[in-house]
Amino acid sequence: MGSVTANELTLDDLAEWLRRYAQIVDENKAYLTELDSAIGDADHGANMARGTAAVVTTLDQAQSIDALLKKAGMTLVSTVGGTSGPLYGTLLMKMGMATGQRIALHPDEFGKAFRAGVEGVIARGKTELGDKTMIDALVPSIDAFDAALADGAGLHDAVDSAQQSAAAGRDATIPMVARKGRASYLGERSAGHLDPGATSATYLWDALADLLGV
Amino acid sequence: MAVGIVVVSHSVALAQAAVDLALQMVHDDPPPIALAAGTIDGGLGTDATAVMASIAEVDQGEGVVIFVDVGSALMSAELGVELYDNPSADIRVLAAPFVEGIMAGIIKVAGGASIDEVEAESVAAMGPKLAHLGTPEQVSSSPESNRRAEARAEAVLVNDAGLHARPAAQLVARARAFDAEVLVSKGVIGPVPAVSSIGLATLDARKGDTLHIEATGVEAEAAVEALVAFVEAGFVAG
Repeated sequence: MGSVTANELTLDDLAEWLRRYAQIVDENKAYLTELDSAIGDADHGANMARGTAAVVTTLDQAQSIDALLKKAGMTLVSTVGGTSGPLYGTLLMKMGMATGQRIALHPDEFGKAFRAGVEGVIARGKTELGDKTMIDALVPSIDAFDAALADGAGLHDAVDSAQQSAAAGRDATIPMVARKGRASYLGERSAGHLDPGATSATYLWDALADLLGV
Repeated sequence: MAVGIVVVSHSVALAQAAVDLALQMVHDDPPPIALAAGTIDGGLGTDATAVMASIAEVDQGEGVVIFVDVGSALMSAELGVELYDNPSADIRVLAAPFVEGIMAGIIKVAGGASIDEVEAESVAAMGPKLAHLGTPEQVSSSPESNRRAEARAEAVLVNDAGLHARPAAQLVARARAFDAEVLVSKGVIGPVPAVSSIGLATLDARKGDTLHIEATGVEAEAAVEALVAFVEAGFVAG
């Protein structure tokens, strides 16, 4: 069970979110690399583990949510090494820019910030849905999160819904033919494999669900 | 003051070697060049914050061009430009081949070129290889007879060096003097702008070859006439 019961996410909650994300990435490092070795250059697990471990060392310094997220994003940019660095870095930095100097976010504010981050990723990668990338998990997840809130759900249930949609989006990448990144060099041969980026993106919601006891 | 050059690569060794190769062609002071290569722990990868720092290092106010190798280098470069966050600076990530582009760019900057000229030359730097080896598109694209030109004529190269670097540079200088857009082609190769020395190099034109020179613009006829005479005089001013 997680520790958050209130219908908001505090500075400490979001720091814990990134800590748990780093933990999940580290636990699945070999798995992510295995996925990436099928269709990429077999460095996604190691890259993300190095980057998120560096992020964890920055989490105690921030005095506000925007500072926390921007610092975390910048740290990913400078430590990951692969394309995931600019992409995940942009996700967190754009989230930080969208929140302002706050110490707690309501669910709809978190949703808005997350969406700003996802839009940043799409702009950075010039990616569309169906290209077999991380946004195939991220876009359906934030859509589900917003839809749940619009239906009157609280934070807990909205995250539950987002987590399920992220997983479904991730699994839907299996038959896709990659159109971005190194996997695109493989063409049709990239079909039949789970996308590593969509997999690590799903961990963002797994980490939040874990924190909330979903 | 010169255009700055940033080289973004997964590998320090690759970036340094590409720059060293290009600097063999430069005999004066080398242009401002900074490398943003490798990961923070010395591995293979790219780092947008390193790109940002490199831009700052070489930005002298004349603009900065960025060469990228593969994959994440492109996104790290674009993000590095955003992080540099200086709207008054002209920073461009170039769609240029890595080795050829760096060579063309460094030579151009060493010659005091503007950022527009550096970009044009670097992006066109695959031309010589394409022209030599050919592509299916090239052979069928824009046959000479389908183009509209206000003036056209042929000139046979009579000098021993053909359209080598020095004659090409002289032709570029002549072509610039006219208020006309001049194109040069050799058989199915080209046309290329007469004001581009790299473009002219792609024609691989030698002694005895025939150049097609055509032009549009106010001084089209005068330009074609003068350039044909210049070529046929063996690049000696008449």
